Amino acid sequence: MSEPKGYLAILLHAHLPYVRHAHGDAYLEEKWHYEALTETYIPLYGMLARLAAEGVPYRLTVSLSPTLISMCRDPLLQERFSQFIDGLCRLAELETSRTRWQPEFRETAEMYLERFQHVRSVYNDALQRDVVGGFARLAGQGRIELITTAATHGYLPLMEVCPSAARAQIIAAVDYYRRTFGTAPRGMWLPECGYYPGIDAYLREAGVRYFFTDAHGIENASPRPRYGVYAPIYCPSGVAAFGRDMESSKQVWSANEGYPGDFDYREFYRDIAYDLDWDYIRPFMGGCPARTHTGIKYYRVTGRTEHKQPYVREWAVNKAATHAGNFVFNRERQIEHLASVMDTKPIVVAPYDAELFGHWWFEGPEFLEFVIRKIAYDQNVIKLITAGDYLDERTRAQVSVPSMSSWGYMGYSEVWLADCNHWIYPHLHMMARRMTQLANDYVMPQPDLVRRALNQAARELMLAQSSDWAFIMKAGTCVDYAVKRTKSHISRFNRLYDAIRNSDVDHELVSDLESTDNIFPDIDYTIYSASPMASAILDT
Amino acid sequence: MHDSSGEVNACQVPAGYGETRIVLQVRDPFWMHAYWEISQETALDLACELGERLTSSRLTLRVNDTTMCDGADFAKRVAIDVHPFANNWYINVCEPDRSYCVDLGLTSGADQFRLIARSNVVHTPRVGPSEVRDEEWLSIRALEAVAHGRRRVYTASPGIPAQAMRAEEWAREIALGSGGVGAVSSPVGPPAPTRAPEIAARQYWLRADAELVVYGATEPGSQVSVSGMNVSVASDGTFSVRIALPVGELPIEVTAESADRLMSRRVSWAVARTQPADGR
Repeated sequence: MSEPKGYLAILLHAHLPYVRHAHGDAYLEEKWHYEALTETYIPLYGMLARLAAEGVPYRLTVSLSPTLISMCRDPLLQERFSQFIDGLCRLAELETSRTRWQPEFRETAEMYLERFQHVRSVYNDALQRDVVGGFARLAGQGRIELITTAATHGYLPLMEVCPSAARAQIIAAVDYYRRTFGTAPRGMWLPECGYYPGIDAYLREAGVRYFFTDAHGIENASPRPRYGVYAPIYCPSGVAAFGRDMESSKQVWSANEGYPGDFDYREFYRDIAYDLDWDYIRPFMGGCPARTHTGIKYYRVTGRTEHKQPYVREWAVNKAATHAGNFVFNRERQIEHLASVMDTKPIVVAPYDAELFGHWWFEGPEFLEFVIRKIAYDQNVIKLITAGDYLDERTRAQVSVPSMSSWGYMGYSEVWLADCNHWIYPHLHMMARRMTQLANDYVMPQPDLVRRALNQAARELMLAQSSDWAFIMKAGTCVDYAVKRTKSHISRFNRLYDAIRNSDVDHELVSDLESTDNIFPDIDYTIYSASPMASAILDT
Repeated sequence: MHDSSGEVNACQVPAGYGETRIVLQVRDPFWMHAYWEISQETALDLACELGERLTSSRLTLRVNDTTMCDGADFAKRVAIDVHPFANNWYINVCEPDRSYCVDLGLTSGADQFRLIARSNVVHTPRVGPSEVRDEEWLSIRALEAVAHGRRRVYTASPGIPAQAMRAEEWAREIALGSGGVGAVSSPVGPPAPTRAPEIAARQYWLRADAELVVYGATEPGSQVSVSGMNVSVASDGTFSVRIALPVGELPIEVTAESADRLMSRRVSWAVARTQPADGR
């Protein structure tokens, strides 16, 4: 391949909040994880591994959130997923019989059966249940660059008043990445692309070389960046910032103008769970008392109508190929233009939520595969790259301070700071402050139970900070769960705080909470202190 | 929560933390959000100090533009009277890319302001590209080395403790209000997501369909097929298959073959669905 004129950096950000209810038997919200494994993470892994095995050249960035990694590695959730996918295979089998005289659905039913069985075999055999290990292997083969995000996906701009909490989110994430993969992450995806000036100093402290902001984070940086979002800038702290390209984002993201809304693609909302006899569906609801998605959907988007038409797999796959061709063509033209006006090679940064591919946009993994193949074989204008590789190629960069921004609605914090969710901040900020005071006051806690209580308090704080809860409260679905989760972590933190302060730490309380909220087993609460100890963790 | 401990189960969140403070956050270039708490103690102190004047006092937020100054004298200041029960407020500012802090206090008479608490300082983001065009370019090696080893020390949340200020009912109201009991938010705050009103004309609907269940029993271990589909046979020899029933005549043929393939049986009939399958 001749020298490319510029680069495309595709980033897939995979994240789910930590949902694990060891003592519950039917938690609807645990299904988020099982569905994402079935529809997104495993199919994406399978596609990327297959391309790697075929020797198709590509380079992608994948951000796996520490909460997601924790869930993927949790034996209880692994066992539950194994049961989930078995159930789904059974349902798909029944569906191939049930659609015996419905030729318009039967092929699709058979497709589902084949897919679910494939997911099951990839999970149990190829991956040995270790999805994270699969992605780590792809990273080892130089196919993907794995980066991380804040420990529990806390929305950092609303931690500006408690910087020790923002810093701890970053340090704990980097530490967890190191424990998981044995190396340090080069980059970090800021949750919701949420940046405020100053957060880069903690990234620097944690050894992170680069992060991403939304387009206006770079466009409104000061001094004004010469190349806009098409070249990274360096914060004065020495950390690079890449800006999201809106054009490539919109084509994929937008439900109306974007590819996923095409009439030939599979309709997400028309699931057999809502169409079929309850007695038939119930055994596959995982004990939930109401109808929830099964993942088996027979219709295509069709148009703006309630009268959906049957899904035709062949049309959908063809459309994914067409869209991939269009996407690559547009990037070529975009980069040709940029290269003609820039005296350095442009980089177009296209980050997406990984769950878009496969879960929301069923044909998303196929689209991505076509994009990768077309870039590899059908053109020579652009080349796939990761942000880290791009920095390796550069020698000079412009120094500028990005502007506070997020990729949420209207580009700032109004999704996470609104009438329906602002009640959480007095608690989150007070908890952060108390955690910092505890970390400063308890340097060598005795007995060991107190140290465990301090670590557990740090876990409760972090779990309460997941941006997902505020987002769900704003989005309006599953609000009760998000409120319950937030309140329970606040309450658990305060119980631990009172117990520690009153020198009344109870073994049962600590043990119960350790098993209930068991994320980050190696967390060290001293990351909340400003002492050199926190830095020492990073240096080990 | 399905927790093993009933005590862990309790998820009560405190109404307040007994600390007088106001915290300011940036929402976007034109909106900030402040929340505050006035402790019982502070409220009682205020009551003692202001006496009768308290009843005529208004709870006020003074929004200070601190962009150009470090001291206590602010060039630009806007006062917003808030509801005495409010414990948070969305503040609209006209000019982006500025620094602000907010004073919470009581205004009595014409313009007598008693400070209760001062917030942290925030800086709102700019809208549009920076006017600063002085480009600075450095080598990446130098940039990545520049901060190496530098450790910054950050302090905890800058909630500023109340400046102690020196009338009873009013004070209790404030304390109650800040306790989240009757939390009132800004009437000019961002609109809450509104629910669609009840649909005026009810859209009554019906959806119905029929499916066929073919079931039976044979000798355990047998191979059973229903209209060409292999059907699994339970250990007691029973089987069951559910089939969608489209319009038309559908031949059903059930065959069973013994495990040793020496015996077989066949049962057949036809099912016809003649009604148009509407409503789907």
